Amino acid sequence: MGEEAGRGGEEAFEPLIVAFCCNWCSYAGADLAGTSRIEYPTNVRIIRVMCSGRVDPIFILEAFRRGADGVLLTGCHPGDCHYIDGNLKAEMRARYIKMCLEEIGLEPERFRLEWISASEGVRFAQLIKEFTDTVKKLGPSPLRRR
Amino acid sequence: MKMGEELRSLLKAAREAFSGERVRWLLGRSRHIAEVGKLSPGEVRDLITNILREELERGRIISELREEGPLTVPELAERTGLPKRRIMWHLICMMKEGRVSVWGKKGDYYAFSVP
Repeated sequence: MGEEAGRGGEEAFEPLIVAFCCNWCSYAGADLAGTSRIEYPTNVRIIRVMCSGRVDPIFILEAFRRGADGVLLTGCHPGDCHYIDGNLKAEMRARYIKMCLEEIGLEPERFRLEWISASEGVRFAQLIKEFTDTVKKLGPSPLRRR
Repeated sequence: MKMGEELRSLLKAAREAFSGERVRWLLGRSRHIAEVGKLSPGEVRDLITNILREELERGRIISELREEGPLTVPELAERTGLPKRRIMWHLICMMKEGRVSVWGKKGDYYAFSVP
């Protein structure tokens, strides 16, 4: 029964993923995935920002505090940033965020930074699938409100 | 794995740390620090880790003071689980920056508050 309950719990767990997508590349990539009718898990909630460099580490921490199981930050590929180096700033911040998550005892794998261009609809869908699987394996966030 | 409530308070402390001037300065300058090359990548990483750790601890102290009002060093030690000497050191550093101040006395101990 225990095994069944455990398996049932695992199957029932649908992670909540918050994705911050930059307006110029990643959001367009997500849009392309949608218009191309590419299927990807519905666990993701996309927040459009003008640049990945706009995302303050506080936004990420707040998403976790409010119960997100995973947070994804996506931006333009290095060198393609609409604002020249916003994505590089995001990369630096991501390193700090991961260190901070490790320090406080939350799995750093719950946060991920990826580069997605406007033409990478397939890549976007694949990333969401991969990340959803990773978060599913990690299990629900201890901060998730039940 | 830490429990939800403990993690929540640590995340609040992390928020405090990332809102503070020290971490924000570091966020803005770390690329420059790495590019100047005076410190090896390992040293840069250690520096950042230490500052982050310190600021997380300070964030915990600040959020406790903000929520629970004026607290003494032993009270802060009990709530945060940090050694008293470390709390005292953080309080002195934060007093210099104007982030905390002496509120008054509670028994034999000085109580600190967020101005």
